[in-house]
Amino acid sequence: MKELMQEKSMAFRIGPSLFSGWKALSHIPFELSRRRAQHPCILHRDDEEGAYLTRALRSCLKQEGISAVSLTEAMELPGEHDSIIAAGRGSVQRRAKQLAAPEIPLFSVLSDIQDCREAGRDEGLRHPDAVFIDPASFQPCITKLTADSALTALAVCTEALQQDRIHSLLYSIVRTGLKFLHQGAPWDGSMESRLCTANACAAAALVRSNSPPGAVTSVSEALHASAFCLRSEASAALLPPLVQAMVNRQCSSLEILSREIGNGAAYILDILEGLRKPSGCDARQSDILHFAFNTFQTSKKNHAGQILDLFSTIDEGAQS
Amino acid sequence: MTSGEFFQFTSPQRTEAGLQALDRLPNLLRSLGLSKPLLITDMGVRKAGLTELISSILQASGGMRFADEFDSVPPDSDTGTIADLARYWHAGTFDCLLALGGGSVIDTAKAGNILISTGKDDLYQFQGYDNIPGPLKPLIVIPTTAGTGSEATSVSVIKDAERHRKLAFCSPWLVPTAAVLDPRMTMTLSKAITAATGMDALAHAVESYIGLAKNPFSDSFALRAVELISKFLPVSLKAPHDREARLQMLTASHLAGIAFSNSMVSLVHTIGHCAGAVCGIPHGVCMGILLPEALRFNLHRSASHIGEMLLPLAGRDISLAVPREEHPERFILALKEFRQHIHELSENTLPLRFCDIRDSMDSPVMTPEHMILIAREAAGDPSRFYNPEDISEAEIHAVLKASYWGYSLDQDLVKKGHQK
Repeated sequence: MKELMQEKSMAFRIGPSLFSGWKALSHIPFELSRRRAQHPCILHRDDEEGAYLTRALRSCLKQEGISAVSLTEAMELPGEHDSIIAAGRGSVQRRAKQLAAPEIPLFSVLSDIQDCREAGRDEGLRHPDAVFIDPASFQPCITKLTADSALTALAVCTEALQQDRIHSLLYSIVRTGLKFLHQGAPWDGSMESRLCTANACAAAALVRSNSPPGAVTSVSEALHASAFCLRSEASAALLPPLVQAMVNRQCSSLEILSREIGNGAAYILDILEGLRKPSGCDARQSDILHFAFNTFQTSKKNHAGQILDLFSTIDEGAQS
Repeated sequence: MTSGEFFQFTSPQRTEAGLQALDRLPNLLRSLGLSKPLLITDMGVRKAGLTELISSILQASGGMRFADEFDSVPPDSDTGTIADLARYWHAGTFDCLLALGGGSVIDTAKAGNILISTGKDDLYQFQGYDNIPGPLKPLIVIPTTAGTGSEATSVSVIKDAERHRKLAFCSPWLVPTAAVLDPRMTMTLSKAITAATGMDALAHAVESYIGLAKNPFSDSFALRAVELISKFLPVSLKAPHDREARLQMLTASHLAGIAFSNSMVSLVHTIGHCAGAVCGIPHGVCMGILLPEALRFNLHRSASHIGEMLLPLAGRDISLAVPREEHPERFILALKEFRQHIHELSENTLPLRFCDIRDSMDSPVMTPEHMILIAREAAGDPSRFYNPEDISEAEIHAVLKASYWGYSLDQDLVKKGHQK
């Protein structure tokens, strides 16, 4: 029963309401009204994705007679607004979280392209009050970016399972994220698989809000920031040794997952395998491993210990 | 659910959980900018010394204290108590409500908060779904039972003192601001209450997993709750002072609360609410008695979902030994076996049939006339709309009758059809 025991102390919060599926955007006017907001300001990315989401958003607001100003993330907020709707991934969501006063509603409209932080609290910033994921607002499929998002979500969820005494609340969200990813296969660009990815990314963001990122996520983000490779390429290269290390040390959280679906490690690797091709991750795997190993083996930063453990697993694998 | 189908999932509250989670209460209050809590509790909780423990924790943290205490919540709270609470609030100076107790105390605090925050005195106008106009005052909840999950839900059920029926309030604004799960609050529970409230949590999890409003998030919470209850309810009864087991049961109840707050409950609660209102049978007892036959009624519509719960309830060995197509029936059997086990561990204080529940004169608490009345009332209960299969008054009566005598529901009375 030891594997079921939870950590002795924990604080947990999901936060936003999640509205997902066809017609999810049509709930926005009602949710604004429930919060007594009538003059939303739409903040969007200055790109094609932002344009797609904003168009869909404006259309559903217009049907309910709500007019909204829309701005790109670089612009200043107008004085007259009582709510913010941030449309799109990454930086626009962070900007909205910084700008939104605590008392005004903040909504997020997301697609299948996310960095798995949008739906949650992000580095101490507030979380959105509500998150809307509607396939009707997804732009034409860019498979590689969808796969990149899915792999990022996979890394976040898998790393949360590293905790030997994962709390049941956190575990439930991790399990949901992994299930969405598994349902999303094959990543063929179908709307169904894209919606699964978007939901998995939202779940991963909630996991990140409640659990610090592990070595794979940290390394992936560092390599991504250094423009060496995409997050997904790094995640695809580093997840197999991570899962192997979890199996080797009989990680109890992985055991819980295994009790539900047969073989937790195989389940995760199965998702990963399905994502390799659409993400185009295979080609640079050895380069990434090499670069990551050289970059992080002497790191004294966060996760240095975990990273060294991870790379010793990689090293053992290479030698064998 | 099929992919693409719309779902909504909400769980805004903060949760503090741990063997000493209450030690973090002062910091939690400070982080929310709160310093004048009105404690809402009942005399049972006070007599158990639980209010003193919290008071000492607050006192030790820079001299914090309750601004005042409202400790007259009855076991089955009603509209009169809610009005008293609202008057009490308005007569003092408070900045939040702190509910310490079981389902009745928590639901009283939630419903009282509606009147307190809106400044109205007519509770009826807020009943039903989403009729509360906006955010309520901060409400911190410390559950002292592991069953209702009310510290995580958007629901409050209160007895209408004048009309002798239940009033239900359902709104996202009713979800408490924060919940603190500390096993020190449930260690002194009797075996009877531990068993009955545990069955309540199990009913929440199971009904959440088969209900029509289920979604992938609520599913994960429900399955995890089933597994935790299966493992730790027996331990809580065998070793009442096992703090880890008590904490796991609080967690399971919380998980099940989050699950059913999003997916709603169905037939077990449809009948159970009315059986409780008409005969005064404790809610958790009703849940334990009704669960197997209500599931059997839904078997044709929810077979695969019912079968998927066999693994978390009965474990891997049984799950692997039974062919998959037999998992649904085996789950109902496993549920009965589990209930029998809990009945024995509770020293026979958890009734397995309605006919076994007797009053002080050794007369049955539920009579045939009561069953007719319960079926009639239940046919109008809104929770039946979330049941996988449509159900008539006669069918409700049949499920109730089978549960009364403890026999399996007559298959001729079960509708035919396919999984929804």
